[in-house]
This record gives sequence, structure tokens and C-alpha cells, in this order.
Amino acid sequence: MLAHLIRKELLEQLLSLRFAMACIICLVITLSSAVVLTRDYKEALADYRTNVVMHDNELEESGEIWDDGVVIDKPLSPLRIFVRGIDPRLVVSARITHEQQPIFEAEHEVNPVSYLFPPVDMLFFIGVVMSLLALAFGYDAVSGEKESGTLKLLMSYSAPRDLVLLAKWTGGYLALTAPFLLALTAALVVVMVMPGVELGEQDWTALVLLVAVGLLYLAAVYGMGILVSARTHLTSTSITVLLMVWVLMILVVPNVAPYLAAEAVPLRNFVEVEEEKAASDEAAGEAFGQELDEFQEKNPEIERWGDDGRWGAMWNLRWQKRVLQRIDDEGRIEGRYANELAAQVSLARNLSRLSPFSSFAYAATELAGAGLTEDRRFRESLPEYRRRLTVYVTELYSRAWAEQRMGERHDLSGRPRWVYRPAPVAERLAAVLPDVMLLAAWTVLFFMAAYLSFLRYDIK
Amino acid sequence: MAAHAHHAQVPLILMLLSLIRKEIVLGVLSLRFAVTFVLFFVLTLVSVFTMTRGYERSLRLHEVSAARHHEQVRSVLEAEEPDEAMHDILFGGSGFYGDRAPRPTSIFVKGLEDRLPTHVNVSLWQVRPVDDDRYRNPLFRLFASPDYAYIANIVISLLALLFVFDAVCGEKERGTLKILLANRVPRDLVLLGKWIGGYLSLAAPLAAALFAAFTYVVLTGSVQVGADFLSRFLWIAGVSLLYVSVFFALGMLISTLTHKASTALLVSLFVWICWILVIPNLAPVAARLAVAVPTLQKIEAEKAAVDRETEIGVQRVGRNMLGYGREAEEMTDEIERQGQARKDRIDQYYRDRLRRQVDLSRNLARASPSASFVLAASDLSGTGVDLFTAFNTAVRRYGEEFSEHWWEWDEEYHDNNGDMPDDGWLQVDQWPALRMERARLDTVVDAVLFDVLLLVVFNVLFFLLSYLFFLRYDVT
Repeated sequence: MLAHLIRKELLEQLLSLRFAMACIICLVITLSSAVVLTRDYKEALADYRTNVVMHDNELEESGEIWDDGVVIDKPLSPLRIFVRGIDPRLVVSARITHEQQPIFEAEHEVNPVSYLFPPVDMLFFIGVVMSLLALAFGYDAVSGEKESGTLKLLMSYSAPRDLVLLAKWTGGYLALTAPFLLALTAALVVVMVMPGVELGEQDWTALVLLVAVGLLYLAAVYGMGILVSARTHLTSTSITVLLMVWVLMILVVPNVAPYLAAEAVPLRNFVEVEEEKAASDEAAGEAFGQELDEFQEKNPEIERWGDDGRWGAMWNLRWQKRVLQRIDDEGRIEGRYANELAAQVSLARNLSRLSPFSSFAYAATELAGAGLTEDRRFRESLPEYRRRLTVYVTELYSRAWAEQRMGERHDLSGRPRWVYRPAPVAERLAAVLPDVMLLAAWTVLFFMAAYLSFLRYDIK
Repeated sequence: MAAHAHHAQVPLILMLLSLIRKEIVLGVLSLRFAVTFVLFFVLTLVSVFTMTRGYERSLRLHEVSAARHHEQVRSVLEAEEPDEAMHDILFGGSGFYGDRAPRPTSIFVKGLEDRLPTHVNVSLWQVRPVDDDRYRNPLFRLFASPDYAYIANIVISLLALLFVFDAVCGEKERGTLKILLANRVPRDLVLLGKWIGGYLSLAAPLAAALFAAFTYVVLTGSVQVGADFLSRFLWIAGVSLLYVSVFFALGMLISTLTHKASTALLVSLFVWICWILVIPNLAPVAARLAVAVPTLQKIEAEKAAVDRETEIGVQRVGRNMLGYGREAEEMTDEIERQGQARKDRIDQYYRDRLRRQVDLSRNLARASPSASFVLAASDLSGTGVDLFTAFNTAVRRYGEEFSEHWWEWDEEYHDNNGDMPDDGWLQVDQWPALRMERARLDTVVDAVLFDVLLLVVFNVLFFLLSYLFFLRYDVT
């Protein structure tokens, strides 16, 4: 009987105008955005590769590493075709010097229009467009059949209401996701056919998980549509209510949440943090000067910056300690601020989770390696590299002084390399579990509520 | 004949007025109106409330930061040996700072405000925007700011369509259209009445919500409301009302093209998704592909190559002429000048390409009225593309002026062996500062007129089309 009911529901949906429209929308949007974003990714990949070579060459040609340091290039993941994430830029480079904190390439000298109009990636497509389609599929599931009078007819048979609702849910959901999955497959084919994009095993796993979370999210939104439909008696009412809820859920709650959190958990002015760092460094600098003076007193025979290189060799090793200390101090001071910020971020996240869209957005960005965790991971990998660089640079110079080779070019082939590995999928999955659970809970909740409403629905 | 005479007795304008009245009454009594009214009010107020608080926060941040940086300058001036203190900072310290104040109109249109650094660090050798990203909540970047421009662009356009999608086909379904046209009312008048009445009942709550929002901003006192702020706000409000009417006309057109309300609704949603959500957002990427701009790194590398060549040229002069004499000096100067000119050309090339790309993305996006609205609103509030240009120009000029000023000072300082005779150097108001130019409202309005015109064209086009289709509409 259930299969029969599902078949009826599915057929009804497949023959409807909205199904045709869903097919067109899905295909047009996913294909055009797949073509555009893939090409964009390929350009970015080419830029990234050029940058890597160029930065290496520059360093080796100039032989200078003390002031200019090393420019590192963040590797690109092909998943960024599907989810742009927090930082819409694909090519990110940072200059790491031992003395200063990492300097990121300026963001303000690029095309600003792309910030006014965010790209149509999968997050946007599933989160905004597909959710609206889900409502268009669900809003008249019950109230529409009542209006057209077929519900009365259907219920005059001995079909139990729970089965009818389950069939409606399943049939509609299948009809909703079919064009989506079809378009997605087509888009993937496009991505695969265009040369230069290589999806690894991890990427495929992440992508499949991403689609699965998207389906779960759509199930939740679709369930909401059915629920409202089962609580209203006119389709015009149900669509009005649903669109209002949609607007609040997708377009307002996630966007307002960070502002509310900023109000609830105020942060220190970051100028204070900068000043604290500067003050701590100034104190350390004075201590360093004293240390050098004391050294000079104890070893009067060593000439300051003398040609014999003894001072230079000694100074560099002491300077190494000083810079490592600076990195630690900066980390400590910024860490305190980071903790306060983390409290704000986590409040904002929890507030925004009132909307399933936020849960989906967090899960999608995390899975694609373009979310908060990845951002933090990247930023945290930099001080560690800076430490290694400091040790290398100071030892290099210390040796050069000792061997009286300061006039010569330095051989930088032994410099430490920055190797970055994004978090493995298993780790990312663990990070998104709460959001996935939340989405599942929404789905069940909406279905249960719809069931309860439908049991008492006045079909006449 | 008698009927005709009777008809002539009712002037068209009265007929129109009663049609408008009917539309308004029908509109105001519907559930949709209640929902729209409440949503407009709630959303606009929530948005203005959040954005005002956000603006106050960034203003406080700016004030504290500017005060600290001012303090730094004062400590130099009040030192026992100001010139010596200055010298220490210029050559040993971390340089000075220039602060960028947030623009008060960002309460309504945040635009690109958040994408720019709040202060820049300047020294004799470089000017560098301070990276304050790590101090900010990254979620601000994941979700768009809920400012009024966003609400109007996405939410209000959708609500406008929802308001009107069944204006014609809904009346047909209910059978009232037949009755209405059985009277001797010309069809164009019916349509005009529907348009005016419907639009008024949509625009009135919007205008009321905007008025409430503006009152709130004035009452909080977080912004000094002057003539400039007021007229910018009025322009933004006006453009958004025009933008809403595009959707109203579009919804009307869809309604005259369909015969069932449910079909009209689906078509409206379909058009809205493609036109508002997709087209403008594909434009920047498409423009990036059409007009490729070299990465900044490539530009820097080319400039570095020019520097190396210049250096080699200078060394050659030094070797050949032993680096002495006027001739050698002139040649060195010439080589350096040429190098600088080449570097300027590279910079210029980059800026030109970028401008072309920006222009193309704007124009491509304009296929959607949503883009026209966003561009016009952000330009009017001074937080649009021009803000980026102004910031870049200001930063570049700040760096140039700063190094020019203080190198000159340094020269004099050394000429006088650290004993400066002229105190004018350390007059704070003479110092180079980060000055961001803000285009005057009338120039902005000139630039925005194109987008306004586009919106008008869309309006007229949709209205005429719906008129055409309505004339041939099958009312039975």
C-alpha cells in the first residue's frame, strides 16, 4: 500500500510544472556555476603554481632571507570549486619573516565587486536555492489536496493517515532530490571532463559526505514545508507562512547571530593587544641590550661586530633565543585574545544554529576544508614555521659570521619548507557531527509534528 | 447609445480612483498584507538595530585606535628633544599609523566596509595595511551583513513578487475579473488601477518601516545627522522604492501571462531565483575569466626584476666612470628615473586591467536589477566600489607623502647635525595623514543615474508588456 501511495505521489510531482522548473533551475545553475567556478579554480591553480616557483626562484636568486623571509603559498583544494567558504580568495600567500608576524597579501587591491556578489557555489545552491524549491514542493502537500478535494477522496479509502503522510513525504522528497542529484552528476561530469582538476580519494569522500549532508538539510526543510501544509487549510496561507519562515531562517537568523554575539560577548579593542605585544617586545629588547652589554663586559676582548666574526656568531645565537621568546610572547598575548574571540564565535554559532541553514553552512564549509577549523589550522601552522625559520636563519648567519663569510651569498637550499596538510576527512567529519545530528533532529521533529497535525487534520 | 452616454458621465479619473481604492482595500485586508507589513517592520528595525550597534562598535574601535596613535605623536612632540625622538621612531621604531573611520551610512548599506583594514602602518620605506582579520569573528564573513540594502535586495523583492503574483490570474480564478470587466471599464485602466493600488499598499509599509528605522538612528544619536547623511538616506530609500516597483511590475507581467495562481507563484519564484540570486553572483567570476588580471605577486616580481636591472645599470656606471663626477651622477639618476617610470607603468597596467575587470563585472551583473540596486545603494552610501578605490589611493598617497616629508626632514636634520632650527616640521597639522576622499553626493548621483535609469527601464518595460498581454488576456 505504501509503495502504491508513494508511486501516486511521485507521479503527481513528476508531471507537475514545478518539477519541470526544478529540473531547469538545477541544471542551469549547477552547470553554469560548475563551468565558471572550475575555470576560475584552474586559473587560480595556475597562479598558485607560478607563485610557488616564483617565490622559490626569488629567494634563491637573491640569497636574502634575513629581512624578506620566505613567502609561503597556501595549497589549493579542488573542493573549493564546490564550497568557497569563509575566505573567498583561492590564492593566499603570506610572507613569513623571523622578526615579524606573518604578513598576508593585501585583500583590498583585488576586484571588489566579487565581495558585493558572493559566488554561486554548492553551499549557496543547496542552502538557498534548493531550500526554496523544497518549500515549493512541500507547501501544498496537504492543504493543496484539500483545496482540490482529492484529500477527502483519498481518505475515504482505508489508507491510514500515517501511511498517507509518509508516502507524501517520501514521494515528494524523491521528486525534489531527483533533479538535484541529476544536475549534480552532470556538474561533476563537467568538472571531471575539464582537464586539470584532480579529485583525490579524500576529496571524493568529502564531496559525497557534503552531498549527504545537503540531502539531510533538504529533508529538514521539506519536512517543514509538509508541517506547515498540514497545519493550514489554504495553499495561499501555507506558502505565505512558509516564505516568511524561509526568509527568517535562511536570510536573517544566520546573519544577525554574529552581531548579537558581538553584543553579548564584547571583545577587547585589538589595539590593546597590539600595544601589549609591543610593550612586551620593548621590555624584551631592553633586556636583550643589557644582556649584550654584560657579555661585552665579561668578554672585553671580543670586538662588537668585529671582522673576526666572533661577536656576530655569538649575537646571532642570542638573537635566536630573543626571537623565539618573542614568538612565544606574541602567541601567549594573542592566545588570550583568541580565547575571548572563540567564546564570541561559539556563541554566534550556537545562536545561528536556530536555523538549519547555519548548521548546513558549517557542515559544508568544514567538510570542504574551507571553514573555521581549517582557517584556524592554517593560521596556527604559521608561528610554528616561523620558529623553524628563526632557528635556521640565525644559525645560518651565526655560522657565516664564525666562518667570516658574511660578504658571500648564502646558500639557502637547506631552508625549512612549509608543508601544509589540510585536516583529514575523518577529522573534519568529527567536527561536523553536532551539526549533522542537529539536522537529523530537525528532520525528525518536523516529520513528527507534521504527523501529529495531520492525524487531527480536518479534511473536509 | 444610452449606455455610452452613461459611461461618459463617469470621468476616467474617478473610475481609476475607485479602482485604486478597491485594490488598496483588497490588499490591506489580506493576510499577505499583514505578513508583509510585519516583516518589513521587524526586518528593517532588526537590521537597523544590529547595524547601528555594529557601527557604534567599529566607531569606538576607531576612536580608541586613533586616540592611541595620536598619543604616540604627542609623546614625540612633548619629548625633551622632539627631533631626536622623531628620529628614533623613524629609524628604529615601528613607524606611525593612519586610521580609517567607518562611514555612518554603512548602517544602511554596509557594502565593502568590512573588507578594508581599519588602519595602516607607515614608515619611511613602506606603507602596509594592518591585518586585523585575526581579531575578528570569521562568521561575519560567512554570512552577509543584514543591512537594509540586503533586506531590500533579497527579502523585499521576494515579498513584492509574492504580493502581486496573483493580481490578474488570481482574480480570474476567483471569477471576479469577469465581473469587473463586465462593467464598461477599459482594460488599461484596470491594469493601471491594479498597479497603482497594489504598489501603494506595498510601498506604504516599506516607507513607514524606513521612516521608523531612520527615526531610530536619529534617536540613538550614534550618528550626527546632517544634510549629507539625510540626502544620502533619502536617495537610498528612493532607489529601493524604485527597485521594489520593478518586482511589482514583473509580478504583474507574470500574472498576466498565466491563468492559475499556483503557476504564477512558481514562475515568480523561478524568475526570482535566477534573476536575483544567480545572475549577479555569476558575474564577477565570469568577468574574472574574461579580463584576466595578473596576480599582485606577478606584478611585484616584475617590479623586483626592474629593480635588479636598475641596480645592475647603476653598478655598471659606477664601474665605468668610477661613480664620480656630475656626468656619472646624472646617468645614475637617469637610470633610476627610467626604472621608476617602468615600475610606474607596471603599476598603471595592473590598475587599468583591474579597472576593466571591475567595470565588466559591474556591467555583466547589471543584467539583473538586483545588481543595479546594490551598486547604486552602495555607491550612494559611499561604501561601494569607490570605497576600495579611495582607500587604495589614500594608502598610496599616504606612503608617498610620508616618506617624502620625513626624508626631507631627515636631510635637514642631518644638515643641522640634529639641531633643527625650523619648528614648522613638527606641526602636527602639517604632517601627512591618511585622508580618504569621499565623493560628493552630486557626483555620486551622476554616476548612480545610470543604474536608476536601468531600473526605470525595467519598470516601464514590464508594465508595457503586462499591458500588452492583459489587453489580450482571456478573462473567462
